[in-house]
Amino acid sequence: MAKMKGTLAYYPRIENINAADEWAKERRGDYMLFGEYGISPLVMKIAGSISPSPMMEIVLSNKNRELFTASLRSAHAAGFSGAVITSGRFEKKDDMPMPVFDLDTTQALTIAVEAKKNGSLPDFLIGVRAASGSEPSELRARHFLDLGADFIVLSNKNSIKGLESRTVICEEYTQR
Amino acid sequence: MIVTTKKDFNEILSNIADTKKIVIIGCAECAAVCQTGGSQQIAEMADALSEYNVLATISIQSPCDKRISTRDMKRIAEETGRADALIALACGSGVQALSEVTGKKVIAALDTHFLGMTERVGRFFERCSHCGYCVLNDTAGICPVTRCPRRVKNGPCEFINGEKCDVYPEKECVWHAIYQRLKEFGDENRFLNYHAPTRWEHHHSPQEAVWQK
Repeated sequence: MAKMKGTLAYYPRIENINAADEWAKERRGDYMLFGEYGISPLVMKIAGSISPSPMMEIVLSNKNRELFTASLRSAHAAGFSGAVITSGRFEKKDDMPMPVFDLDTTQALTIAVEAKKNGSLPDFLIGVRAASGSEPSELRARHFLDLGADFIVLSNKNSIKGLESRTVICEEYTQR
Repeated sequence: MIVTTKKDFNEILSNIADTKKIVIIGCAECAAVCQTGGSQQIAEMADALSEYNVLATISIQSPCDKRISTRDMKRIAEETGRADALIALACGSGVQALSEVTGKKVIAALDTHFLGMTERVGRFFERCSHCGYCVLNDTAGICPVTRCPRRVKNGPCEFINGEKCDVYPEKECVWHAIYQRLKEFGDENRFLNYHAPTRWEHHHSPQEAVWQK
């Protein structure tokens, strides 16, 4: 298993394609990640504007297993180098739509790893958002790697002992 | 127990606008515990509807059980026959059972919320989502499907904040609680047991449990 560590420059929400494009050209971090909120990064990728190849975040909230699989295959087909699976926000608000949480990250990872094994996602990296700081969350993070994740993603300044070589630290870009 | 709350009274009035003769039916089980359909609430409803011709009031032990509502409604069969509408202080199952049993127009006076654990009167908590695939034996008797807002079956999720939930910051993350409890029982080897996504083919509404010979 190749080591995957370093920093992941994360652009959570594309509001303006030109602005995101400019950000991508500056190329901070060892890897780049575009979030699904806002304009889909697929639009930019199909337009050929992001280079070098970033990864696409796949948010599990409000997405059932069929849409998750579609997002995964779309990200691969559009030429993303990989996907980062995240649970997604749970937003309590007025006129709240029905929350959909069909898959958790472990279940989604299991589907993605199976797709890699059967050859439908060649050369595609799978990462999973994880958490440090408590015994159960670190056990879960280790388990992601045991199940076949290429790497885990932790937020800034966090680490899990023994997993440093498989951890990418996410540095979130805040749009001004 | 089925947890219910009273509908806004004006909503009930708007549903009986063209009605004169009514019968009021309460539930002596769950709705009585919730103080939404007990004897006192039946009397209050009758008072509030004093401008109507209230032909009868009745408290039924379990209106959702058609055997019981069929038997008990016979006691007021004559009044029911004359009524323009029945007002049911019962859960949605009770309302529909009464409708099927009597063939009458039944007005729901309550909103139905969840299957609740009763701590004491006025303190009801959802502990089971009747999901059809009980994971409690792997989760130290604490249901993550119900108590995690994201319904995470293999947790915790990455939003865990120390020991707390990100959605309900005052609450312990249910997966943190599960892990601590599993350790107490010496069952921590169950923590990573995989729970597959729910198979909805066995699980979507309307569900039925009909015994086959």
